[in-house]
Amino acid sequence: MMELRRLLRLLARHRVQFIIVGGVAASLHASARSTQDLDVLYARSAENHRRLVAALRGHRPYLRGAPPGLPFSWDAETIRRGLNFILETDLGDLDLLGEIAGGGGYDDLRTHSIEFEAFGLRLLCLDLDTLIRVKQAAGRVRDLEAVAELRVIRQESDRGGS
Amino acid sequence: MSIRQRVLEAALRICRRRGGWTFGPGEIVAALPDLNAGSVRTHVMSRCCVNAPAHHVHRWPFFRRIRRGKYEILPAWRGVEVRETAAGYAPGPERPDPVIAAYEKDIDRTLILRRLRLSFEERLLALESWMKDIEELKGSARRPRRRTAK
Repeated sequence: MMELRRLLRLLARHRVQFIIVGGVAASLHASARSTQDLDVLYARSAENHRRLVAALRGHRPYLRGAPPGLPFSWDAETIRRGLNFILETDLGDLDLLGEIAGGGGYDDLRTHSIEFEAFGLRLLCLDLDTLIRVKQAAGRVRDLEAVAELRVIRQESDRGGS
Repeated sequence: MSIRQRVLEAALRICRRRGGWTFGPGEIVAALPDLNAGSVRTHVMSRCCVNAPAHHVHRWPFFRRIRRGKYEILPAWRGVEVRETAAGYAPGPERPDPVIAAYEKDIDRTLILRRLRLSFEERLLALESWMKDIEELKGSARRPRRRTAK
């Protein structure tokens, strides 16, 4: 099971620059849908790659769904050469995204994020309108259902629901 | 607007104009002259067809193949709103995706209103609690049932 609080604390403690996207972001915006993993958009800088490596090193990151025994090494060079990493860790499933369809990278979406406080941490989450836009761009069936709910959240928020 | 949306809208327009819910791929191609004919056919015959072989990762359950060259719109999509225009399709300001609009009708707004009253932290806690419950349910489903002694 994903240990959401521990994952967020871990990333924050290592000062990883990231924005929460995906299902957890939808939950933060009041979605009632469940999710099994934490999706974050991370900054593509050498310093941030080092922080990510340090944060996850002790938690056995491995490519989710890959056969065991692949020569996967969790280091800054691996992150630099790759972009999106769909990982399993001993704290749960974690998707590290360098870019998202219809949105771009961390620097593009930093200004489309909201800052919030939870568990004593200050974190970033993609704002509702951008989340709708990127989920719509992804165009998967499950994303369309999620977009429908997010649009209802937008309507209810505009009516003063929160 | 994506190809799948335009294909669904074109099929709905054709069927509503003619009556009935069946159409041929050629009709959709003719109705969408600005799109690549091959892409339109692939959407009708494969990506959006529930009984086509699963060649694509992302598929949408809009149509069913009845026989060679004949498809029908599935009941769930027949009520989707379509904007009628003389040209069939008018690019313009943001149009609501008919598929998303169809899903929207089934969203439980009471749940959302309840969630909107929570703080960010409470929403994360609710998600965590939900994940924990699901995990426990999965665990109990996996555990073999013990026979009671007679």
